[in-house]
Amino acid sequence: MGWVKSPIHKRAHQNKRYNTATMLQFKLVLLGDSSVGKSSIVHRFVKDSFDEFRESTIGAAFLSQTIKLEKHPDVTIKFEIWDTAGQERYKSLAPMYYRNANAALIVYDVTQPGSLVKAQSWVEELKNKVGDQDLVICLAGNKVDICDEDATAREVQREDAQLYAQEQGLLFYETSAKTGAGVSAIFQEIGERVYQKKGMEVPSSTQARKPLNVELQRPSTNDSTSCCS
Amino acid sequence: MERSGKIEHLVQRYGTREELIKRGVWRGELYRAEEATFLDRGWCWKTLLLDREDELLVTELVPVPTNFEDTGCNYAEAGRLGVRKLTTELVQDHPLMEEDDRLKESISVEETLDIVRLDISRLLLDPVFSDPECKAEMVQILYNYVAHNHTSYKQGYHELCGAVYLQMLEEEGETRKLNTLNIFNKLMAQVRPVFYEETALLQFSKQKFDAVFKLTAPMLRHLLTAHHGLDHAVWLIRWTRLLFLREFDTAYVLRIWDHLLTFTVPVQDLVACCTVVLLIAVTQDLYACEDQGEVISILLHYPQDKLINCVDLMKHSASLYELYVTRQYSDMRGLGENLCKVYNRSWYEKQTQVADHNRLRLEERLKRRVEQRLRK
Repeated sequence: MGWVKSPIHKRAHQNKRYNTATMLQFKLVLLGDSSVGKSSIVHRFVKDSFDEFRESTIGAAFLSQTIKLEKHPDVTIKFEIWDTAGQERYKSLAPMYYRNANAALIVYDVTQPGSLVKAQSWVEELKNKVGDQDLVICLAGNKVDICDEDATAREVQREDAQLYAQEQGLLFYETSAKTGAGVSAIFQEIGERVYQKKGMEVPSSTQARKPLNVELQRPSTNDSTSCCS
Repeated sequence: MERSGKIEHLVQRYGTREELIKRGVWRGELYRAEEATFLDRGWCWKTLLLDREDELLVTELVPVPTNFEDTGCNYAEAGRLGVRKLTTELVQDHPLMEEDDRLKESISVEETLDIVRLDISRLLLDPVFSDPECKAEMVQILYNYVAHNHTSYKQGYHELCGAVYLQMLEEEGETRKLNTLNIFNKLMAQVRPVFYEETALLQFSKQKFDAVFKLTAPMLRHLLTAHHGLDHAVWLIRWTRLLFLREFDTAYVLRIWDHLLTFTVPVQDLVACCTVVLLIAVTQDLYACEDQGEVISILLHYPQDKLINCVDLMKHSASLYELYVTRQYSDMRGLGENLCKVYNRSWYEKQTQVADHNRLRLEERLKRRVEQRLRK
């Protein structure tokens, strides 16, 4: 579970030697209260853009982005990102989105203390329902640009959130989707952690083409799904 | 053209509400090029939905409260502490196990208004919503809707209500609000219990939609659910809750809404059938997908160049519904096959000729990738 797709050891050269270029695909889900900036973080990461006004997410949005790991330049990671709505009250729909996720980015707004409380409830839910041994969880305090302009706007102290993250074994970052601060670092770090966590499961080159996840495997050659309707 | 001139033309042309439904909407006469200048959607929706005064939700709007001391809720305290409670706390037990989720929601008036205002401030349906007066009117309409129905507000209401409000813009202030509220209320009477109640939505996805899909396009359904392991609900939520508003351009969606608002077919059935037809129209694209992520990308970013004529879409959807309710299941499959052929012609013919379908899929995939690269 959690290993979204098998690593594909691409044949980089047509000589006798295969290099170790690896393409991995990870599922990441964003969770957090309404209007904390989840969609803005995703858009900063995927499109390197920011809109002051962004419409509420209904249900969920889906985007993907590919990065190379800085510490492992031969590893390319494709993030499949589920950006969920903040107002799913009883969260009975949320499991559909975090099921089989490799990573969760839980976002709060550093100017809204209530949003950290909500973030903590998401951490608990994930730990209870998914188990953090299968999941890399990152806590992100967004909108630090507001505090940079006006220090009195800060309602959640960095140290408090960081301490909570340490206690819970979470990655922790403060970000600004508006300026881009911390955004790419988060995805680099998550990518590294998931890669490390799952690296030991990477099959040897002889097994590399065999899909590991039955839900998301590539079409097999004897697939019967071949007619239109 | 003056509004009165448009309305006079529409009255003369259709005469009765029934004719407007039959010829104007379902036969698509309203959308013909020569008629386009006469289309006054606000008048059409009022004619469709506000003909009987006794069925109106309200005839007078109550103002939005500003004093929360007497509401019996303790949110004022939270407000003083600067704690914004946009969504309620996590509950321990699944609230849907015993009763409908709306019965358990105890969100206060003040909280509701906070969320509504936040959502309205992020409503990008039209630039008019950046105007403070429009925002205040929308808040009042949604407040009245929630209060009169004894329900709670959910994200998405604001967008549906906004789409109705836009059609009423030419009305006078108080009338504009009342008409928006009453039309929105009639629409929501069918939308809210199915698409905004979580258990009902999951049930719609697993039963109603899946049943129609399976009967109409079994192999396509197999591709999405069995092969790619996709749960319909993950993408259906947005399609259904916003009645396609985020999926297609507004002009196209409003034509779909014209059909929905005739209530000739129950909204949930028409939405289910409509969605199935829309999926069939992109069969070729879906078959070219390599994995679940690619499928989701298509479903949540529907290829606009594959949109079929809206009147045809609704006619096919209504036909599908007729076959479904009369249990003519084999004909549903025949219709599905035919639609697939019509809207994916070259691919359909090719796939009936080649023996190796996986090779064809690979070709489609490569073709799609090249097209994507060229677009970048």
